Amino acid sequence: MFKKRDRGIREFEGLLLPLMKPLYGMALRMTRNEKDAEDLVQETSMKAFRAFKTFTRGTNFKAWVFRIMTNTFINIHHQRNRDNRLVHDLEKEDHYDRFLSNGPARMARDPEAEILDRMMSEDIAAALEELPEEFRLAVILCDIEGFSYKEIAEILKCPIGTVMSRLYRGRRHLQNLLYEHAVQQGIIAPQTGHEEIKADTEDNVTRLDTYRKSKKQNQ
Amino acid sequence: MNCQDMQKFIHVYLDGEFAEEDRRDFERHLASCEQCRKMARFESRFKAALKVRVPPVTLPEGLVKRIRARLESTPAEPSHGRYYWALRLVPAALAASALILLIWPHSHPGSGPTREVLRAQSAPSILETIARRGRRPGVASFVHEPGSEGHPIKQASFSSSSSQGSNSPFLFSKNGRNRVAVTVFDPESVSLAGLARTRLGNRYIYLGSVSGQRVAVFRHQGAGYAITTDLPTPELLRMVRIMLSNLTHDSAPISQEPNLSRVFQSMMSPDQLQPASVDEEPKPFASEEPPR
Repeated sequence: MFKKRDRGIREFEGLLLPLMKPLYGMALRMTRNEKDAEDLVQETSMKAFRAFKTFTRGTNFKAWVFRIMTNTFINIHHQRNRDNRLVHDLEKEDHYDRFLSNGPARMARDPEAEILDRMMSEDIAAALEELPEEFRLAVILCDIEGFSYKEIAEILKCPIGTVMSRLYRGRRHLQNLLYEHAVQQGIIAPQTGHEEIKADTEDNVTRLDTYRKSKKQNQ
Repeated sequence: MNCQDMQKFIHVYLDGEFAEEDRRDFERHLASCEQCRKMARFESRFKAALKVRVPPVTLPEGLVKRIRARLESTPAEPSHGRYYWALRLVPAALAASALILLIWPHSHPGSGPTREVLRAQSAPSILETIARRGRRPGVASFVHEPGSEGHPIKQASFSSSSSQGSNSPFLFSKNGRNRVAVTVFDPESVSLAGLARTRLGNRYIYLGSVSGQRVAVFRHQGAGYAITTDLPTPELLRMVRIMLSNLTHDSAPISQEPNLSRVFQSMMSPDQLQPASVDEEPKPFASEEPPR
């Protein structure tokens, strides 16, 4: 009675199942607990399968599935606590911006850049958890899953400039968090005399075109 | 490129996202600036550490198996982009039976019905599953797009072409007081407990009630259908007849490209009243005895 679907399922599974680890890993980072992560992966798999006909063979399946998962996650999230969450996140972003410096990260400026070597998996995982969601997703998609800026923009449904901005701020903030952890754990002594440099705005960070324009003017 | 720019774009460089010319500018500065070289080294090591030191993923036990099981118990691919329905079969190994409830709106003529596909857990009796859905006034429309949760667009309000009189097959009040729902299911996997069998033309249908609404259940070409409504029984039977006549005239088997949207649109229009055609021997459901 349903013969046609078997071909479709096999093809789909051939594309989807090899991605289970990155998918689940991403889901875990989004939902922060194993049960919800599995539900999210299940939901995403079913949705992707139902939409499989709309997928253009030969294009990036991984990015396509990740986008479905991000959509699903955002919809669930927003349904749960609508207004509170959006406001909260905006506030959080501003808050973190205050501590972003325009110069090199504190970790880099610190003479003991061996912090890097002492970064344990748990420290990194914990710091990632503390990142605001937009930053966290961008950093994971770029540094852990290896998507390009263009793909990340499609997955998160935002302009490439925003991707660059979130990556910049996300990584910076991650570095600051790890620095704080290291100070708290006594790995390094807090340095006095660190200048508080004014926070960057999104515009300053990501304007490659501004740079190119000014380059042309100077030539 | 100056040191300020370097600071801003180091990540773009490390991510390999620079265009050729900008990349060369960047590297030219790097070659001549110790400070920026140190900074670049640090950022590069940090990026690498992120990738390597993030704890590896361990998949939960049996996750892949569970996903495969769900995928393989889902039926044919969607027939049209946004309009689709899923009929779940019960593999012999699994005990769960699945029922899908389709809620059909008919908002304006010309706009096809949209549907929501809901998951149901194991449900031995079809009435149980319908009851669990609860009662909802009016009929809700859902749009289902890949990756997005279905959400109600609005409560549909109908205007039937003749709102009164026995000529019109369906009476939907303008404030959406009446409800019609259709369930499609695998007849091998449900019990008909609580339903009374009756003949309609050459076939059996099963009538019952759940949550104060009337249900008519019948089987056609291997699939089971249940129409639930709060409309009176004559209207319900009329709906059954219309649906049956459309299903039998539809030559494409259910498993391929079902055109239920067309069937339902015809259910809504008054000129589609035809007696159910005699096409097959009334087949009993799995546990039933043949009619005498």
